[in-house]
Amino acid sequence: MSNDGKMICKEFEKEIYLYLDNDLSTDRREYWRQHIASCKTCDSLISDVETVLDQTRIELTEDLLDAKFDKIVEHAVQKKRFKIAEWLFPQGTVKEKYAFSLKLAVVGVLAAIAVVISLTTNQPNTVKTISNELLDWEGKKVTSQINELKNTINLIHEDNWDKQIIMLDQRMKNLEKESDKFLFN
Amino acid sequence: MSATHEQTLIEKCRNGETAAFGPLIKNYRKQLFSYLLRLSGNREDAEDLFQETLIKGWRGINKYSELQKFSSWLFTIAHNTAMDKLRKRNKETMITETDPDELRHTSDPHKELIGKEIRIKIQKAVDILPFKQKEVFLLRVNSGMSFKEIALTTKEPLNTVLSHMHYSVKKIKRLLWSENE
Repeated sequence: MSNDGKMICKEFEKEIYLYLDNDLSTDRREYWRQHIASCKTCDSLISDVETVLDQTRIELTEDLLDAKFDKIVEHAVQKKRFKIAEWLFPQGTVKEKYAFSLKLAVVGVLAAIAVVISLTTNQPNTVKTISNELLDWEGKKVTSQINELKNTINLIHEDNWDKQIIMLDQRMKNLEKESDKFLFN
Repeated sequence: MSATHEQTLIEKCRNGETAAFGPLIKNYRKQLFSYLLRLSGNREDAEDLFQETLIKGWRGINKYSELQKFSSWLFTIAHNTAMDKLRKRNKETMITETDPDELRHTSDPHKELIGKEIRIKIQKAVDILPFKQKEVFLLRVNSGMSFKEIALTTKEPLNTVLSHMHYSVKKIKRLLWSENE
C-alpha cells in the first residue's frame, strides 16, 4: 500500500466510530463507503471493531434476580420517606439514608418517652434545686456578716465613737440591702 | 419494546402510575446493571447504584425530554450516580481485576465451561483499561449511546471520546487476539 493509502486508512481509524454511528455528513460517509469497498484494511478494521464490541457486550452482560429487580423497582417508586436524610446527605445511598432516618426515629421516640416520664413523675427540678441552695448559702453568709457588724457597733457605741458608728451603720445598711437579693426564703 | 409502547409507559409514569415503571426499565435492566457492575467492581455496589439510578429516574421522569432517547437519559443518570459514588470513595484505583465468578450470580454450567476462558480474558482486558477509556468503552457497549451522546454525558470533547474508544478497542483486541494465538 502506498503512503497516501496508509494516510487515508489512518484517517479512517479516527472517523470509524462516527462512520458506524452514521454521524458523518452524507458526502463524507459516501467517501468512506467507496474507500472501504476497495480497501481490505479498513474493511477488516470495521469487522474487527464490531466483533470486539459484540463479543464484549455478550460476555459482560450480567443480570439481577427477578425478585431483586422487583424489590428495587418497588422501592424506587415509593414516596420520599427520608426527607431530612435527603436534605442532610443528598449524595448518600439509600442504605445510608435509611440508617440515618432509623437512628433519628429512635432518638425521637426516646426523647418523647423521656419528656412523658418527666411530666408524669413530678420529680424536683435538679437545676432549680441546686440554684436555690447556692443562693440560700450566699444569703446566710451575708446575714452572718451583718450580725458581726451589729455587735461591733454596740461595742463602739459604748465607747462614744460617733463618727465610726455612723460609718459602720451605713455599711450595715448597705449590706442589708444587698442581702435582700439573696434572702428569699 | 416499540417506541410507542415505551412512550406510553413514560406517560403513565409521569401520571404517577407506579406499575408502569418496572416494564419501562425492564428493557434496559441487563445492560444497565452490567454497566454499573463493571464500573463499580462488585455486585453489592452495583445493586446500590442500580437502585439509586431507578429512584432518580422515577423522581425525575417529568424532566425527561423526548429529544433524547430514554435509554441515553437513563444511562446518563446511572453514569452520574456511579461517578459521584466513585469520587466519594476514591475508587478509581479500586476498579481493577475482579474475579468473574464473584460478579456472576447465576449461570448455565455448560455455557460457563465453554465461555469462561474468553469471558475472563474480556473482563480482564476491560478491567485493566485506564478509567477514562473504560468509562467510554462501557457506555458504548452497554448503553448503545452514540459517541456524541457519550461526549455530552462524560462532559469530554468528542475527539477525546473517540480517542478513548480507539485506544480501548485496540488494547482489548490486542490482548484477546494475541493471547488466542
